[in-house]
Amino acid sequence: MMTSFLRLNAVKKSVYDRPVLKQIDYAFAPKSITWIKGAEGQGKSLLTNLICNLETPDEGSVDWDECKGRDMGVVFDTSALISNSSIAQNLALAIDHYRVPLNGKNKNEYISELLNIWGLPKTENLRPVALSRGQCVRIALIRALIASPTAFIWDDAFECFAGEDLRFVHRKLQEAHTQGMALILLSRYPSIPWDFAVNELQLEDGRLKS
Amino acid sequence: MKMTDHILDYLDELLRELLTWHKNRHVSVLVLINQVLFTGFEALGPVLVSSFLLGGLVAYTGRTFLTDLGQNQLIYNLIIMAVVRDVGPLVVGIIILLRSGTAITTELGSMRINREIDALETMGISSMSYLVVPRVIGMVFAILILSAYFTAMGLSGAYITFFWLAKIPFTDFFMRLTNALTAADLYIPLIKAVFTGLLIGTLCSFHGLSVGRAPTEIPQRAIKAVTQCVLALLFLHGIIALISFSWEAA
Repeated sequence: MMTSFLRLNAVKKSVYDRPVLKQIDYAFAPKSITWIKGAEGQGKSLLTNLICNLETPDEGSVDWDECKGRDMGVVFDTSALISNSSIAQNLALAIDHYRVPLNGKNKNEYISELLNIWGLPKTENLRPVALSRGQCVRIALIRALIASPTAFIWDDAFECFAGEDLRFVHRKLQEAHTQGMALILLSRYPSIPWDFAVNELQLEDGRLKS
Repeated sequence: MKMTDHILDYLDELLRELLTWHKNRHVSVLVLINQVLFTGFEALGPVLVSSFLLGGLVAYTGRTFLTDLGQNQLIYNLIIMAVVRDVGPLVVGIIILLRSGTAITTELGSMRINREIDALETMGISSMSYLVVPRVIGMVFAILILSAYFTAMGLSGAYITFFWLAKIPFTDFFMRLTNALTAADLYIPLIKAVFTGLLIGTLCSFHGLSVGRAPTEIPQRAIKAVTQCVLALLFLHGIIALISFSWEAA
């Protein structure tokens, strides 16, 4: 039996009595990249919610590895940053919660450095509303990756990026994967080229197909 | 989306988180400070104006009415009853409900719609611990602070009215007022303030977190929160007044 950190067992889920996910069976291997492609309305966001334990399946189960638990970083189809907090406060919340080691720096220096690396200098004191959608998603990506979780889940992956921005974010995720992080990416589009093997799945008619 | 649908389950969860909140305070103390600032200081204007007017009004009408009845000596008891003990705490509660209670409901509702609460939950941060507990504690502290300001300003309004009507010196006013005060007049408003803060914080956050996916649910929930809070506040203040008067009469 293949080892997995997350297993979807015969998951079924309806929304307002309309069956959306009819039979989802899949085991996510550690340190893998899984690209789940699906057209609008096929249930990508619903599947994300189920994986993240934000909703419970009508039937079946979503089982995370018992030892590691739900160790995940998530970016939804919206950035979901805390809107009444500044960018620095959004990141500080994650740093404080995960007790991220700051490598001898103080928290503000660490946040400034992160924002510089991700191409968002001098945005610390801005509210999310002052940034573009792409910039907010970058902050959400920093927040999700900051504690190097076992798995990174991204709904509507890469959809607000193009050109150089897309290449930059892609490179950052490749770096995270190199460090051992499993990536679960859900998108309307076919996968972009990766330096690593990618499990491409199609979410169609409520089922995951290889 | 997982939600606590019943108020009793919600209360149970809130009580557990209140008891263990100190363990998570490193992430939510900022929310607590913001709540105290927003409710306790930014609401100062309307609270001070209403308390001054209430104090003045009670002094004016009470003095006229009691003088006609020949019971002028009871005016200080009436002021204490209205400003310090019964009407004052209720007025503070209603102002805070209209201003900060509705803000809590709509803010948490918007956070639910924008998936900010989902993001917190996936990070392993309990929305109850991070968002609700600091707001409830902040609400209690803020109402205690505002009640003190309300009392001071209400009594100032009463004194200025007396001075305007009969040129009563401040020392005379102060001596008569303190002579009319009892211990219960000091601790009953404190009890009311604490329960008012708990009630508004709990009910308003419950309705905020009960918002589903549709933005139209936010105003609906805000209306429900205000209606239920007003009724619950009247009931709560009535019960405390009833118990305290029975206690004193015994």
